[in-house]
Amino acid sequence: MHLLVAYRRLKSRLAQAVTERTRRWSRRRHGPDTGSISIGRRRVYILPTRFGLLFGAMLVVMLLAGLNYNNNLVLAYTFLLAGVGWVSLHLCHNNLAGLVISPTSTRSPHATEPAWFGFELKADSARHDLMLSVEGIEQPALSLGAHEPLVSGVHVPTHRRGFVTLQRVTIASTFPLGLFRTWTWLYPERRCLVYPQRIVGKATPPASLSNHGTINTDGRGTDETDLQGVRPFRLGDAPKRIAWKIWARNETLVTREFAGAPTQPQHLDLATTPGTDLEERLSRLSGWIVDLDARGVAWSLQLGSNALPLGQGTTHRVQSLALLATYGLPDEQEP
Amino acid sequence: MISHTATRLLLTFTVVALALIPHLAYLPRWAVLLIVVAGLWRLLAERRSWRLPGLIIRGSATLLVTVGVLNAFHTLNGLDAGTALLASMVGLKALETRDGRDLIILIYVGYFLNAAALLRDQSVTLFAYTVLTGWLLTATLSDLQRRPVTLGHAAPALFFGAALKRTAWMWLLAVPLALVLFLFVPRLQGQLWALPSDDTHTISGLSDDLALGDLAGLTLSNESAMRVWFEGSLPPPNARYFRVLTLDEFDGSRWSRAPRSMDQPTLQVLSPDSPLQYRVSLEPTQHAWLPALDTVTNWNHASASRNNQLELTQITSATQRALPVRQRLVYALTSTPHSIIPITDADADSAHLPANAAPRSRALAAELRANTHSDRDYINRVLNYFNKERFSYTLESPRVIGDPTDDFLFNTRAGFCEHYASAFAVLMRAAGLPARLVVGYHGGDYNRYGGYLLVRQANAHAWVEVGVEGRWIRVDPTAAVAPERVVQGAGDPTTRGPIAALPPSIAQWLYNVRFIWDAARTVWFDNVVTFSASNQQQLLNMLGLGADLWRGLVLSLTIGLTAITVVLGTWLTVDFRSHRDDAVTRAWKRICKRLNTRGVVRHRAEGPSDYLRRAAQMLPDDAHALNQLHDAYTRLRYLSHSDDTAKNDFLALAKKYGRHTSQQRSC
Repeated sequence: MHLLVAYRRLKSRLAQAVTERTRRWSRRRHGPDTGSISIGRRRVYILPTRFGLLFGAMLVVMLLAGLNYNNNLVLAYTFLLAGVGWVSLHLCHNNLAGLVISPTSTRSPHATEPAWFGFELKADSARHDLMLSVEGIEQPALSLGAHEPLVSGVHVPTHRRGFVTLQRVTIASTFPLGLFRTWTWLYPERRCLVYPQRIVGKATPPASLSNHGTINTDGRGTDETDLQGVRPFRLGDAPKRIAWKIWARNETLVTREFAGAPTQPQHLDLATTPGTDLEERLSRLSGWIVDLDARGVAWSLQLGSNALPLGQGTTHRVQSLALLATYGLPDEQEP
Repeated sequence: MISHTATRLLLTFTVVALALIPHLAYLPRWAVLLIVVAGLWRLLAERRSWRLPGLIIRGSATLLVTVGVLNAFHTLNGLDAGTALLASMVGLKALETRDGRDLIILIYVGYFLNAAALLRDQSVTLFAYTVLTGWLLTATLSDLQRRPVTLGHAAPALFFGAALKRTAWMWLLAVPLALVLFLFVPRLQGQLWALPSDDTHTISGLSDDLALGDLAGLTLSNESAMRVWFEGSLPPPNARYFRVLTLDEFDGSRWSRAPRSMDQPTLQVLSPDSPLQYRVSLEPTQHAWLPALDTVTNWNHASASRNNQLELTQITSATQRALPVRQRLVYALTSTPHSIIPITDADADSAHLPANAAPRSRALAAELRANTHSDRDYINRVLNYFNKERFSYTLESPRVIGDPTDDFLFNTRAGFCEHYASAFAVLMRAAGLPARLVVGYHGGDYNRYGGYLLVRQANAHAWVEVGVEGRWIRVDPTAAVAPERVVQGAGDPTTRGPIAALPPSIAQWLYNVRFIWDAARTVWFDNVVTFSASNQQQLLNMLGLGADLWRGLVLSLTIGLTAITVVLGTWLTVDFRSHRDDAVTRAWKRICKRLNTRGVVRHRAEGPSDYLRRAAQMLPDDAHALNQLHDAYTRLRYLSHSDDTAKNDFLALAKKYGRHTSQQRSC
């Protein structure tokens, strides 16, 4: 039993080592893939799958039977199948070769949510069931028609604020028969900013922190159950504030507004934000900013020596969150 | 709503069932039942979300099936037992299919079933069927690769249709490679392991001995026995006697072969200038006898079919080879019709009759013999006797009472070839002349589409050889009674079998269709089924690739694969559609080229409309034509309801402008 475990461990370690070496080799070979990448034949790899090997073994058995019994028709049938396999090799290889991948936008997440790296795929001929994976995490398969660009993206898990780098994307395909697997490795070297994790819930900054009048401690509930009314959806509204029931009824997006939410400009300062450590405070600020933005309230931000003046809207939110994301990080992490 | 998995199950089961169909007749009934029930149960289970059977049930089912196959075939080896096992495993596998992997295994089993079917039957029909099911299996395999969730390019509603189309192309593209492999992969001379014999299937045909009435069933059979190609002209009907067996021992009711020495009697060839050369394609007989015309004087080793197992061991009494003919066999022979077969010491017993056999016939023989002066005269007298007395030719001979010969000659007086031959031989022996029965085929229908003589089992015939003046001569007593039987073989083929009930014109038409079909099958058999190492040798010699089969394979594969790869690569990488412009675009490009040569170069960002307007200003001579073109192009390209008239207008104007400018240039 121990032997078996040891064998398995050795095997997986060996496989890992081989894969790692191949990847490093391919990495050296391709170089970093910045900008639009056309997948040339040089970097398309292809190997038979387990079912492909089984198919080959089946053909060998048929071949032996045909030769032994001098049965030309069994031979002809075997050769036809071999030809089909051969054609499938070419089709498989061609399902990947010539594909053009261009980076599009990224979507910054809050830490622990997945980051999204968008890109556009296009090709001169139709492509079928391309399987994308990042660090072994499978993404939904993609198909595209000839000259029909497809914008899609991959999700990359995040753990902490700062930058997440898209390390290596594998695009693979077993089209059309599953006998061969063709793949290529991309090293897009793309980074995406990860905002601090959001602390949700009582999202209002404490009254004591709002040193600009309008104190919201007048007993009006800050609980989200205190629904005041709805207003038309504005880009950037938190999904949880959208009145989905209304959307289901008449397909118009409206955002719920709550009583007790501050409507006056807020001044947010890291120094006065409660929290046991920096990360928690950053998280709290992060949560507030999203919330204020969702309700269309203006805010200013003070992070040590960095300050953002009063403002509102998407750009202001992104700036604020970016500031939070990079606060205190070593310089090489700066964009 | 049928789920994704259910659709896949249904599709895979259906296609694998198609691959099973050719085996149905050879499977035990319980196996068929098992497959059907298992398949239906699995589909229902998917629908109702039942639990699939566990390891214990599957294990015991596998054991049961193995025992069942052993019980039915007494072996697990061999084609029948093997396919029964494979087919039953399809049923068991169907029970436990959980995901795509199991379905792929089922597809592979389907491929195997196809190959196994071809081991059993090599007809062109079955081959076409296996290719068809092979294609469907591949399409299903392709469909199984589809991911459950795919973003992007919307899949067509009938996705299997796309898989069908794609895999049809794949099979078509596979043909060149398959052809190269088929032609050049060296065939084995002999076998790696022995073919399990399937003696259980009886094949109709002649047998080793002959009792009266044996041939009657055969004479009604429309199955083909052999096909014969003659070099030069067809021999006349009265010369188409294909000898299979010589029976020279008679026990009073049954003729059989005497054990004889293998030494060949010396032949005296009377007319060596007219040997017949012919090739025979013999259907399986399970015997080693090879039908041949009298008398075989030579045989062609090179064209003796595959395995070169044609060993002719005896010439005069029968042509024979070492092994039974289990598969269709092709051999080439030379026969000299008028050669003399001398009577030797080995034929000493040929005048022997059992002491108590046919007393009345002996008396008749003595009576007829009394007034004759020569052996030939006696033969004619006996033939006359058959002719004059009221004998009738019928395939439905009455039951024999008492001594068979006496009963036939004096009581029933009705029978067919073997009755006449047997009675005649007895009368000869009773008069002291050596006589023996010859069994074979006589006649045949000429297939003008295939250029061969088709001999059916219905052409089975028996005649007599009598020893006169030290040699054997052929006498066909049936001819004395039913001359048309001898001239036409077993009668007009359109009046035999089920087609006889149809109006003559339709029967004739059907008969022709059958002949064409038979000719096609023969071509298939000759060129595909029996393609052998010697054919490969000829092919390599013809191509100048030398005699080494392996070298030929390597060379041809290198050339073939390179060629196919280049073709495939080009076909796949160059998207012809995108390069093929429509007529309007082509015309537009021509106009641009024309204007270019006249100095009006289109700017990069200039649209067609602006370009034409500018050109009209710069080339005042052409202004009218260019403005017309501009209007037509705008109508065509930018109006939503552009139709064929707009297109045709534009094309006509473009053509006119092209002519106009080229005239200007030539001036």
